[in-house]
Amino acid sequence: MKRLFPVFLLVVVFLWLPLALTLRKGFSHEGLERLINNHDLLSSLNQSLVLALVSSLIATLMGTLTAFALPSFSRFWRKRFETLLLLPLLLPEIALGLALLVWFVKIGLNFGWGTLVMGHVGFCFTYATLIMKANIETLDRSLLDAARDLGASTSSVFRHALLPQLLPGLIASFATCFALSLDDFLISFFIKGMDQMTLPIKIFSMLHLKIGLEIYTLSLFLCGISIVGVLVSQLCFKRNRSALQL
Amino acid sequence: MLPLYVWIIGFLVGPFVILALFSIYTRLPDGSTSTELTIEAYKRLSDPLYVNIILRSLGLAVANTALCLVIAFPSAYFMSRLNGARKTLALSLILIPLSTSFLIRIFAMMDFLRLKLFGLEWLYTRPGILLALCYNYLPYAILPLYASFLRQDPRILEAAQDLGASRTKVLTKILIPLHRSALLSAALFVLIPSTGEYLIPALVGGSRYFFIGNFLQNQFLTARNWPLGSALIVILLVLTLFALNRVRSSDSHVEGDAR
Repeated sequence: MKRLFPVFLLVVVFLWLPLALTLRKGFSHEGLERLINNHDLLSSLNQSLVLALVSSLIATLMGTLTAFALPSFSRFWRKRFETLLLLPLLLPEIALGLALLVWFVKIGLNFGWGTLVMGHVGFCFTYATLIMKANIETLDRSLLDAARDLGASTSSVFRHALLPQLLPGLIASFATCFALSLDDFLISFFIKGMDQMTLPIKIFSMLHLKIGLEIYTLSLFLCGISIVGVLVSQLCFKRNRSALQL
Repeated sequence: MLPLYVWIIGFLVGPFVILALFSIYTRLPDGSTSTELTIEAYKRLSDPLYVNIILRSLGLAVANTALCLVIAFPSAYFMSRLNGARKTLALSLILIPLSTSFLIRIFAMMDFLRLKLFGLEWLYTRPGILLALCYNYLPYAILPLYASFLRQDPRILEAAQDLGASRTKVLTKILIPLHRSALLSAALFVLIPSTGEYLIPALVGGSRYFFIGNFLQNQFLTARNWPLGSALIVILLVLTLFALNRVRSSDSHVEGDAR
């Protein structure tokens, strides 16, 4: 056991050292000042946050409904659907992005917020469904039956017996989808219109120029958010990473 | 179940059927396509020029997969044997870099590669690309293995050691067969996306080397040869579906045995 510690240490150093070296440049007054004054960057952050909020709400809702419906399919179809569901996890992003590009062109949609939301809901749906599926499998159905037997109305069974049990899954699904949508570059790049500038695309366009201090500061903020997010989800829900099982 | 159908048709079947159609359309000299059916695009993919690109991408992806698995296996095992709070901490140390923005990670890696470690030039070289790929995909290899190790009954190893199995025997006769399906998942999660990886070769490689990802981007946006690009995506899709089916069917065997 102890002999494996150096390997693990190596992994942690390997994963953290480049991040730490780069992000430490973000700890500066000047970076913060330039970030606050960079309206383009802040506006793209704003666009990304709205897009992520809308897509992860829709994806979580769709995923929850699907996760409830899946057990009612026959074994044959359930297996097929689950395989399809896993496809976006595996396929290279560029293949998905280009397929969506060709599809939207072909059915004559105008590229813009509509296509962007559809694409984001599309790839988030997989995660939402898998997380909610794992959540529903742990549901205590006897609680629902008991509530019903004791005379609770459908709406209060939903509110008091079902929703509290679903909540950890819903939060995990929403948070995961939000993070994925906020981070997506490649798919958005192919399916956005002229007027949309999401944060990753903005950062990408700035990478070609000389990188300003504000990017480092912004990265530091985003990294801080993901640290808080991971720690919170680690402490609250132990099981939400089962999505990475084929 | 309506959402599921909407998603399957709007996000998978629709786009990929159209793409499959494009792959058998004829490309006209001006870059547009006519609906005359032909398998020209698939034939052109066997041109040594394109075969080279595909083999180069596969080679890099296989190297990356091997590297990730070799590192991930022992470290995931180590993580799974920690207790309580330490386990949570170890997992968080892996998850936080994973949930940090992809672009920021690449950009940090590029800064890192500029440092000329061991006096070597890393940025814009193939070993540099490999290192960046590994940096990005390592967590995807660790997580499935970690989950599988967590489910392992510790008594199995105790029994093996009591009966006098050597360390190599324990590894080759017990650990690897026992976690075969997790190893396969981990391998696929690294292999398939890294075969088609676009941003890492484009940024860390400085577009000096051509891989499948750059090739696809080029065929669709610059060279405007949609049939050729579509044909390659269709091949990738078929291979992915095939691999996914194989892994999942071998998976259900294991589950069936356990029950």
